Amino acid sequence: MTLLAFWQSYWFILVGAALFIFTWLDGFDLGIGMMLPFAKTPAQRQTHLNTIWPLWDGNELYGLIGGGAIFASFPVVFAGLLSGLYPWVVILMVFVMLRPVSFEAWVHDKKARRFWEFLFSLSSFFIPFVIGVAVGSTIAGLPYNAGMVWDPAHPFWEALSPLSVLMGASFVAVSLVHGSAYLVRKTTGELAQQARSNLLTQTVVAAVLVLGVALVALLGGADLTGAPGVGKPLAPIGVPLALVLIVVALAGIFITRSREKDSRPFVFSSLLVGGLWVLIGAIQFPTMVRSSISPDFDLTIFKDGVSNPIYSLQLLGILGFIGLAIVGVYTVFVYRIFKGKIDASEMHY
Amino acid sequence: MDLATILSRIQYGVSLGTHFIFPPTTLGLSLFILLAESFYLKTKKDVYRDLSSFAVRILTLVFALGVATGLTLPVTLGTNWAQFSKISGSVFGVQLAVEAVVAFTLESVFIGVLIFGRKKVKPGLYWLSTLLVFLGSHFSAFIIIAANSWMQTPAGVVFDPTTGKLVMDNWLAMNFNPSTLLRFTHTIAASWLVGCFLLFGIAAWFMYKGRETVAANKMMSLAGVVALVSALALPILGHASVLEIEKYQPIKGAAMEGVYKSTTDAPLYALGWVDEKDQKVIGIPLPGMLSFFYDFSFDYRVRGLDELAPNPADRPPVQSEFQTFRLMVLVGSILIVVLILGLYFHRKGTLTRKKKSLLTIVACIPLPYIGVETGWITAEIGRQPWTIYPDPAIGFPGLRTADAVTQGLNPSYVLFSLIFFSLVYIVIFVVFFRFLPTIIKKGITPGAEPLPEGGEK
Repeated sequence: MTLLAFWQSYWFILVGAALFIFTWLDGFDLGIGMMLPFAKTPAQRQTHLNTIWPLWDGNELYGLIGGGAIFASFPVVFAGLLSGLYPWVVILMVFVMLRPVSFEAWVHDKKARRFWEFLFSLSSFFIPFVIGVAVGSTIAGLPYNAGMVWDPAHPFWEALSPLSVLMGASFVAVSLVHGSAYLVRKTTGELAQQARSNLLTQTVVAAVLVLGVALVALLGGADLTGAPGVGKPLAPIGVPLALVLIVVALAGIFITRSREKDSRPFVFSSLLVGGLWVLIGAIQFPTMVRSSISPDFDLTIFKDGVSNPIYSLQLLGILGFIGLAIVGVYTVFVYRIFKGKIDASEMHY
Repeated sequence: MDLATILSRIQYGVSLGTHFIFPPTTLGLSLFILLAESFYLKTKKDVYRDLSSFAVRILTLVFALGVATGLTLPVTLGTNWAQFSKISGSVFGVQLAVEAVVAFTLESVFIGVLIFGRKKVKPGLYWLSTLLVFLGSHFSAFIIIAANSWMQTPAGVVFDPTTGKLVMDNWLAMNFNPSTLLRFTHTIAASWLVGCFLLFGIAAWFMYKGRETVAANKMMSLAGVVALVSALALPILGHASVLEIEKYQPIKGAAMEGVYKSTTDAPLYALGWVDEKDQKVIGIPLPGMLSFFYDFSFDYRVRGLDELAPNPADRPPVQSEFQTFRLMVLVGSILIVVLILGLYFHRKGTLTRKKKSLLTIVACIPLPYIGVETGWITAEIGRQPWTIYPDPAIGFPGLRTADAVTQGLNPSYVLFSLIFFSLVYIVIFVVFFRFLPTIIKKGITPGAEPLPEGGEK
């Protein structure tokens, strides 16, 4: 392995890790956001929001970090994927913008709270769904041509395939599971009770969808042979490992959901998010985007011109690592300030 | 220029123009909060804590809308400006990632502490959080302005003619390219003016209404002094910027002054109208002053567009440059006068009685925003027709905006995104203009006013 290949692989894993952290942290507030309008009383909805209030802004940033990591390491993938998936990205960004806006409006506009709750919920649904579809479509294959761009002869709906839609639905379901698990951890009484019973249904749905993703991918939705000479080196170890993680996580949520040890379901739902990303990484490495036109046109990280030159990869590989470590320390610190059970009281300064 | 490029430019302009309302406000507010909190820590006077909390309540709204409008910008670099992203990926990708990891995360995590942590953390730690928010937001501004300055005056890269890419080989040189420091300090001073003049204006409104006497007085002094110092720094930094532009981007400089023919003893037009067809400026000339401004000598030969860019396709739109530049200077000058007079009568103690003067100050609140927007337009329209300026030293012929856009971009896609983004921006404006007054009307001092039920957040 050359030094360049080492940094390229490092960055593949770093991008995956950033996206994992994004779905892990933002996942629960997206899930709670989706369920917001379904909480029965205004007090319950206030509690819902109180659980995520100080944290969701910081959580969302990991999406930015994930995107920034792709731009910093594989600009051709960043530019090619975003421009190729243009209409989907627009839908995603509209909801990414509406989410904080509806949150702020909810605070000040007491008369129209139901409306802003609905908009917040809708945004919280579309964000994981579109991201899931995009991730699924890079595995199922998109019409990228020899110039490493989306072939203009192919329409935008080619991003939709059984695998990509299943992946979108899985991201939504996993966010819901993760959100309920977080509510179990952070709330008490009737709301925690409700979250526990939601957790049961949601876990069943998530199990069907996530295992469905794995099944469709392994039965031919994904390309498991890979590029000549490189292949898919992580698949033989990674895929079984991911399946074990996912099954353990699902079983863990089932077993712990009824017990009084309230933070355990959240540990297992975190494992579920992790398992899903291990599965995605193992199936894909070293491919970022599979080409549905020809395997020769796959955007793989080792391909000439796909990644940034070694100076940038190395510089940010080191700077970014130190930076993320510091971020990790103070994020944990701030989380500790806001730890403990949350109730419906309004949050003052 | 094809339709997709034109629409993409409109979209990026609308997006960035909307976004650029919020971050300057954030920067100014974060400085005010840091100062107020420092005074609180030192004097233990409640009024400083209340002022800080009041500014935090405004910051909460402004920051959220800034994030909402900001997230689309790097994404549309990928969707609409894919060629630019590929060519500058080793610079812009790194820069945006550093911004996200090092600066923006710091800012947003500790804004959480400012909003919710008053009762949960000790005063010293709360003060530290205001410092970290200040540092995070300013570091973020530095990284972004450095990247933008790099598009104006590239440095720290080599050009690879076979792939057409700019490859970064020196991160520090890229960040500290010839225009970064001046453009950064100029923008920061303008941002402090924006944020603090907003508070200055709000204080005038409270005084006009006869509410919050003590707190509004303090806010007017503190915010007013910061705003005035920033406003006075602007012409100095601005003049230095003009000299830097004359050296590195003379075409932009010539367009800003409407100079078509090279000449010594070049006049400066305080106001005027550019006759683009006959290539001259109609207005009131101050003879020789432009030459004098550039070199303290009337003999200085100012190069005109005819010499610098004989091909009109290499020029930015001259009228737009000429007018937006003047509008920015005009607005800055008015603000200096308003601030000096306002602070003078405030110190004399007679301002509270001058109801019309107070209303004038309130009416001036939009002016700093007009200033930063026109300044930004001057800088970026003046960069045209280039997205990345040519750099003969490394053999880089420049990247034209028409070549920076995504290849084969479907114009109907861009129309679709332009419409939907614009609708969201309208919602954002409605939220901003409806709820900023709501926050202000609730007052500065908790409990001093009859708060509407709950008085949350």
